[in-house]
Amino acid sequence: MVRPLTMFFTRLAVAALAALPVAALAADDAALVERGRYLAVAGDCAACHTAHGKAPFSGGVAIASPLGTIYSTNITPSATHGIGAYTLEQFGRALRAGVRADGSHLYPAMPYTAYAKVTDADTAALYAYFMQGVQAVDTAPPATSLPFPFNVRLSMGLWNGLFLDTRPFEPDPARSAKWNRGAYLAQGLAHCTTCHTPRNFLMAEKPGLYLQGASLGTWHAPDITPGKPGWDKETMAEYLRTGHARNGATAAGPMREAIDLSFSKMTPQDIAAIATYLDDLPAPPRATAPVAVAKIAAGDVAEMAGGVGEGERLYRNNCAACHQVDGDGLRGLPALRNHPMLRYPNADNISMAVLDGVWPEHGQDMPGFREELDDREVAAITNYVATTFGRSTVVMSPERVAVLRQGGEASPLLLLARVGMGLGVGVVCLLWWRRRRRVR
Amino acid sequence: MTPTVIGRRRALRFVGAAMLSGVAGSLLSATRTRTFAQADGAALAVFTQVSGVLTGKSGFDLALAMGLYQALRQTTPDFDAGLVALKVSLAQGAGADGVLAFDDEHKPQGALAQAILQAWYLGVAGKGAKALCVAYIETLSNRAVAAELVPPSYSYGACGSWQARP
Amino acid sequence: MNNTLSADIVVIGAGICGALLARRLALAGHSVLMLESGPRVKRAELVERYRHSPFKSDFMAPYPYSEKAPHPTFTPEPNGYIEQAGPHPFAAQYIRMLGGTSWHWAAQMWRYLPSDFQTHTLYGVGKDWPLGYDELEPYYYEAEAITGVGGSPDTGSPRAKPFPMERVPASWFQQRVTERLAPQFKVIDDCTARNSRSFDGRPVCCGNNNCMPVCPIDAQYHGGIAAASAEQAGVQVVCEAVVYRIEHDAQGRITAVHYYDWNKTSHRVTGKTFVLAANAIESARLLLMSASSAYPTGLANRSDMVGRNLCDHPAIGVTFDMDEPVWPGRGPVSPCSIGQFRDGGFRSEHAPFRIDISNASQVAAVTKELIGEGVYGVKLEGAIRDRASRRVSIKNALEQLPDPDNRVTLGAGKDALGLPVPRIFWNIDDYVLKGTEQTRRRYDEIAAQLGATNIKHSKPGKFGNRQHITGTLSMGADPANSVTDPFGRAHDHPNLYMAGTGVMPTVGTVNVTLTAVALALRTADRIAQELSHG
Repeated sequence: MVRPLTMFFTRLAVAALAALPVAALAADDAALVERGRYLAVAGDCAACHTAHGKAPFSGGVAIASPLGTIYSTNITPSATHGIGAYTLEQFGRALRAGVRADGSHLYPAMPYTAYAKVTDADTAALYAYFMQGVQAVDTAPPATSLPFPFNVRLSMGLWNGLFLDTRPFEPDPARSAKWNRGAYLAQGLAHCTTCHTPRNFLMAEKPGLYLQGASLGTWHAPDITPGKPGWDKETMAEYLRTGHARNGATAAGPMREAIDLSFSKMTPQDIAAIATYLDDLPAPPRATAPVAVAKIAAGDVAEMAGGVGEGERLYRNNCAACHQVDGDGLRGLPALRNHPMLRYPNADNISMAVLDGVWPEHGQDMPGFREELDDREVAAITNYVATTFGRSTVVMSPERVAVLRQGGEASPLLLLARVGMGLGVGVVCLLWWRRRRRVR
Repeated sequence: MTPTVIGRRRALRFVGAAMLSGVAGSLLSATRTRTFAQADGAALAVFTQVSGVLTGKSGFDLALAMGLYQALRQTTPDFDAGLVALKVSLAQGAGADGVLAFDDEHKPQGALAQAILQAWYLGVAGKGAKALCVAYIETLSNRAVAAELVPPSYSYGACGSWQARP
Repeated sequence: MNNTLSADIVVIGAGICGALLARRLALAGHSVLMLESGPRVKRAELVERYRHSPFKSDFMAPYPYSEKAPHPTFTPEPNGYIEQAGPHPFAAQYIRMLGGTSWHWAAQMWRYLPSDFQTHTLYGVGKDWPLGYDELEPYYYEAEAITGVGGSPDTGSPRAKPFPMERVPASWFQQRVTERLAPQFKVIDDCTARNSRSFDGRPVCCGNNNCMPVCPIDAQYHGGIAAASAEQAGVQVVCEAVVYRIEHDAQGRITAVHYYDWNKTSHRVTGKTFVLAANAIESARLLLMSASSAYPTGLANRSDMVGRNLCDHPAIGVTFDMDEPVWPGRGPVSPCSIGQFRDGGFRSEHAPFRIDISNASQVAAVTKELIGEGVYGVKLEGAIRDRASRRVSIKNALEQLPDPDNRVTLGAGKDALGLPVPRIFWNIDDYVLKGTEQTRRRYDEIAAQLGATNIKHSKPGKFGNRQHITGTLSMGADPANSVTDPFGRAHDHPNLYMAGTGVMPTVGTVNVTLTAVALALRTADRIAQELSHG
């Protein structure tokens, strides 16, 4: 556990600071609070800190991590259950260094590694919003308890030492204001890298593969570096604003939520800035653009005669009602033919959409088929969609569907950590025993 | 009547489907398709010619034409012979101004004409217990209204898209 | 004989009423077993069967027919499962399958009018119900909340709370017909359990125009969803279990039910409370089949009312071609209706009625029509487009008065399990015939107002069935002339309850499912109350 002495001094400091009066709300503060509200939207705090149907920012959202379930905290200005007693400095440390007021560490499910880039001024605006613009809620969400040794938050101190870059954002004078604004937002509050950069086995981002795509355990966050066929600056901006784009892309899963709660509510200028920044990144060499699938002449003579394979039959009976037999959708129902997700390096997102559906905040939704279809059937539909509408060569197996269905693979980290610790203890015992023998 | 009538109907459908799937199986292979067409080329040619007159269309999809032809042969006695007779009647002008008219002597040809139209426009061959559904989406009636409607069971569009004037 | 299954509450029949009653009791913590005579079938299979059927206008065609749990079928010819004994055939359509008949409906979920509960007092016809609208109102709302009902507020049925669901947007067809018929006719949105937003894990309607016979995406509620929700709540469901006898003791308490599985092995199921929810025809049939020496006319039948007072909404229709293209077939199948003839002093003279305006695609119907007329060649396609864009199809629902001679009894024939088939005597009286004269006049006025040509009324003297089957298990305060008490409990058997449309003493002027579900929820509460006191 956290060292008791540190805790004592920290608590003393908090009590002392809490005794200071909070500055009275002036007219300028309203503007600061509003700016903070906008920045909270850009940072998508609500996605993790507002549970469905509960008071805003009162926490309790269960975040599935490979190490176990992490529950988000109450960040309303409640003095007893939230961050009401936090000073600006403590708020800043939590936001940008992942350290709570009591000195304990946050897990990087809170993307403080990205929020480290947020400026002091923006931190102050966020602080003003959370202290004055949010209703205090005196309820405690469930406590997080990960299996040993990850419940030892001190372990996060080690991890931060290895991987946390505490340098704040530095604008590049050689670049335009628009680029810098986009870089600041993308690297910081919008925390794109948290999902879109692959991680090493210690779950730290690999800087050499910045934004080149990563699995979140179930959904795949694709490569968002420039040069991908069908994607340009305008298309990316359109996608971020609405969740769909002229190239047929439709957002699903965690990105759908991020667009609903965050990107769709940001200014068009900020979205254009993010798109400008993304469009300017170094990109890996691309293979030649895949050949598009031509329009399919849809018929059902073979279907009526029982002459279609299982994947096609399942597609026709479960999916074609909305996506149509030719995969072109209709009047706002999305097309699958040449859908950008069919060019991903894996078929996980197809299967995830089939399992869980797509539930945007506004507009037409797609149901999930988790209860109706077994793993084999989900794999068959996935493979049919990938090959027929995308000419993709990725293959989905029933075994992988089973993993997706249960929420992803268990991380080897737990076993590794415990084995590692066991070995460490074993080595210490051995050395001590040998020392004892020598002494005798 | 006892419920076993239904059993027979269903059995016939499965037999029909099995036979068709035999055809469809060969449809999917281009080489075998050509072989089939060559073997019964003459009969199929009469069918497509008569179908062209009855529907006013040309350039039929081969898989659809063969599926309907096979199903009509299965459900209509002496179909090929009837086709030839119908072809003659149509050439002699059994339908003026877009309406078929057959005298009593040629009533069977009138029925055959309607059966062929039912096949192309509704995708169904035969009647009653022998009826077979060969196609649905690509029937000529669904194609005729495709700009304004979709075949029932397929979605029109996102909720509310039907408010606008078609 | 197997003797393994038992539960506190045994429900016979897994349709929308049985399933929602079972669910409610399971959520209250009781052990519930639900027996369904038919199979469990996936929606995707039904969609495939629909598309592959040569008989697309037969709403029963997509549903599997089970020899061991037979129901009436109609194509290619009627199977004659129900013996018809009366001057008018009662062409019942119901589905013996997990989820029951509401798999193929248009999700019409209407409340009765307050006066529907007291037609005898107000108009001197029919029967008064043993409860009033106000008593049922909270259950109406609960049923609407579970199933997601939206509709027009101008129905004449008072509401304590607004509809839980917004209405699905009206198609161009509905808008134009509504505008053209105003002000003489007021076309209103139907009350339907159809999603206009994501609800209950199910998507929004996207206009598949296939509500009947099956919604491919479950945007509308139906008994299959109810059955799934019952299982999720902990109800144990056994399919392919054909209950053939209800067993009682010397005091008339129900001790067990016996069912055949599809191998004709008999099973005995015990419980504390039994609920019969196998639809208005099959439930009556089962009670009659369960006759014993103590109850020689069948169970729950000291009143001799089981199977009697069979009512439906006889229907007549009209089709015509409007004078402008409006393209029915876009959006849901039954979106709107005219309700202004449901109530009034005239009810003492002739049947009231509701007029349904169909939005089903008319393409197949006009195509058949034109081919039958000999149209061919290039003219045919244009004619199909022309008629399909202007074809209006209207039908009504006439209130039939309960007549004890209209009844379900046991027939002479036997089904594959050796059980007697149902036999129905059905007649249409002057009350309805006078109502049809009124209807025809309205139809002609509507046609005139829409500039109609090619007007075709249904044959005089011929009636369709709307499948709103009521009366065979009528509830009432007096055991001498009713089967169940006002809570659905059999007068003759203290631990036997009934749910479904059969307990409704009158058929009213609207589709009956919402009322039946509301009553079933109320019955569930009564059962729970009894169990907690007993």
